[in-house]
Amino acid sequence: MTSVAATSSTFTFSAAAFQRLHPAEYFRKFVSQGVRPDGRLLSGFRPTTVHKSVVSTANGSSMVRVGGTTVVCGIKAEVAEPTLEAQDKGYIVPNVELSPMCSSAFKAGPPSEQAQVVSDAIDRILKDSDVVDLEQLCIEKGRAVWALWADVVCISYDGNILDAALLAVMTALTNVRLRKPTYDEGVVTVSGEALTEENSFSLTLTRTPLSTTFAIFDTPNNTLLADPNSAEENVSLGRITVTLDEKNQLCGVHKVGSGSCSPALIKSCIERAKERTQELRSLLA
Amino acid sequence: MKETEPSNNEREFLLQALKDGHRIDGRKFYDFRTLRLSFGSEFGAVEVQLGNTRVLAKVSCEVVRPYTDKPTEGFVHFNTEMSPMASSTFEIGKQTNEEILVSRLIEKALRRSRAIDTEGLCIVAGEKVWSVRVDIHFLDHDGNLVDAACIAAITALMHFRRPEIVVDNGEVTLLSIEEANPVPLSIYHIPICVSFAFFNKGQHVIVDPTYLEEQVKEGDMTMTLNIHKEVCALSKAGGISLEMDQILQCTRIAVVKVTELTEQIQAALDADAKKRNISRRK
Amino acid sequence: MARLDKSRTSSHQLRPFFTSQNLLNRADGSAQFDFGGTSVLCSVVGPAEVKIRDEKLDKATLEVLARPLVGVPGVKDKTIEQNIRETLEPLVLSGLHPRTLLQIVVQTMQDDGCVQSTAFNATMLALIDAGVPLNSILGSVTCMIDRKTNQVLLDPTREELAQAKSTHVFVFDNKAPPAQSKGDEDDVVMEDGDRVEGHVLFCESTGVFTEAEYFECYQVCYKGVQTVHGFLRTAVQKKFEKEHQQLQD
Repeated sequence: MTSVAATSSTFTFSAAAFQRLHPAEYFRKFVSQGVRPDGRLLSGFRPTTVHKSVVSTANGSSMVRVGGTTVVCGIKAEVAEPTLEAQDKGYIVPNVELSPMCSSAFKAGPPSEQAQVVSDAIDRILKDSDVVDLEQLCIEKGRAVWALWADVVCISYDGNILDAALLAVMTALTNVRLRKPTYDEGVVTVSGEALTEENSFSLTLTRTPLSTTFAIFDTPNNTLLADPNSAEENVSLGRITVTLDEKNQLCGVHKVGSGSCSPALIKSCIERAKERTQELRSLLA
Repeated sequence: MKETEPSNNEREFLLQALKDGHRIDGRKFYDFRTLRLSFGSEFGAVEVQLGNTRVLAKVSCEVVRPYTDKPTEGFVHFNTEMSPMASSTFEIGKQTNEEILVSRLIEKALRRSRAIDTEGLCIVAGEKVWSVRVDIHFLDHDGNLVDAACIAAITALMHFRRPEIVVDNGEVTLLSIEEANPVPLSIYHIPICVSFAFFNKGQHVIVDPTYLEEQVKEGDMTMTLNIHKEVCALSKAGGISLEMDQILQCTRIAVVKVTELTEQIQAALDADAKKRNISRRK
Repeated sequence: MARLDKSRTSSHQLRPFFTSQNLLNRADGSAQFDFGGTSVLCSVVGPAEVKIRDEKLDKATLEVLARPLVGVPGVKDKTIEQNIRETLEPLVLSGLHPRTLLQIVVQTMQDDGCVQSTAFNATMLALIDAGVPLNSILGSVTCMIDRKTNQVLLDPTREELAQAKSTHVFVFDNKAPPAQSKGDEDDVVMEDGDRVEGHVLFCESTGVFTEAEYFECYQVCYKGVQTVHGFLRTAVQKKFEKEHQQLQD
């Protein structure tokens, strides 16, 4: 009886096919060499550009590109009634929109969980870190205040929407110009003339927090990928986001997913985030 | 998730038991399950247990602008969204028929019957009124969600205290708990829902059906009455047709039940008030 | 320095715990967990039928729904849902139940601060009650830094949180951290020279704070969570003893 030796059959894939079939393995092959498929080092960030006042019909606006992720933020001011508990404070309401326009991964309809979570994250940073003294938005105490609607629309999605959206909102807030209103017996009047230094004012920001996100890829090594793109987000198990202001004070540390990690890992994220946010501030100025 | 029908055995057993004059849980036909009311530490929070059915109601209020055509009326809003906690057959975003019926019954029983004095919620006519919001959370579904929800809602509204408010030349100031005692809502009457289920071609009528009884029933009817024998609402939507004297018989049963339940609610509210007074004096 | 919450003397003291398990009849598992005046009820159903579009071929699908006490669910509840779901993903042995659904509903019953932490603990007890296979147990506490006194207050009430400069929610599991050689250069050392202990599962810190304050809160919460773990263990033990008793009778 002859025995047939089993030959190990080898399949050869193109790189693209291998990425589709075994996405985690594909990334591991790069990460083990200390690089990522797009050529960056594990701690490298994608090229970032910031444009100010791009939407002329908005009170303040910006466009931010982080690699393949592009977001536009427009801030519109509206007169609103203040709450009874805060009669001399206005509102800033951030809203992030992730629609099928930016990526086929998103469906049309009510905002997805991701969009809501990012909106809430920006809202918490604005409120808990005292970014804007809301009394600047008061028109007449107890009667009228400015409500700023900060809408962030994603035009192209390639991962890390939070960092891009927060940078966009901060940039837009720095170039908001509100017309000086006059209040008379329940009616708020605003002149329709061209904006000048006298008939309008800009907001003073107490601080400008900016965030840096790292994806946690592969337990138990907990390899960090700075500024993950969409493909890296899909294979990662968790993320760490560090938010810092211009004095390098922390405004947020958020670590979620991917099992437990050591305090040393978080410290290294904070250190790298400090370098990154200093680079970003030169873009804001 | 899809609702699973009861097995034929369960159905037959229940119907046969009714023919022999018994209910599966040992109750008599016109008995309510044991009602347990527990109050939270804050005003306006009540948890109702009707047998295994559990409902939580929480009342909150805020100051809003009234409608221009009703400048002196406040608002009362009920939220009865059901979550999969009560039963996996409920889904967020997709309202089942049962959810819609419960929501409409609560509206009819409590809002349209004018149990709450909405004029009493006015602060500054045309400018500021109170908007009272009742959030009803269904925690465990073992039948008769409507009655439990109604008891929870009306008890929570009676338990609730809104902050005292001071109007000075059009300037409105909310006073905190330290500055002034909070004020109860003005409630005209206490509507209580009593639900009936019919079996065996309308021969057998039971009160306060359990989940299994609701699945097997041929028809149902909910009557909302108050202790003054006034009918606030009557809902008989489809199901088996009833004779007129069956409906009148149900009304008589409902009057007795409403009296019992109202007394239980009052007793629970009084006991809670006494406990709060004692702890406050401490 | 005294806290606003007069019932506690120390700034690192937790409020009294309370828990009740298996209280719902329709759910496979349920538990209520209280941190003093904050109470959260959690129900777990599963493994159950999953919709085709949510089906995962090799794992169970986790679904978390957070229901607030007052109002319709908003973006804050979506954040709680995502936090709980992503923290539980590595803990639940979902590979044992592929193509099924694990549905978790978290209902706030009373809110006196620290709802997120209470929700984590309630979910953990409910999962144990439902018999869902788990890798480890988690425990969570919240701490804050007071704006005026700069004190680190553990498990603050809503009144205390109104004065917070920063708030920190931490979740730790009960696994022993991997053995580390002493004097590891990667260690994080605090100002007083102590090494920061504990591997963190989830952390959410907001407000304005320094790195030193962050790691101090990390340590304080790690110690607080050990107490929570002890309480969870006792609670589950008592439940099993009672059930055993009932079976014997």
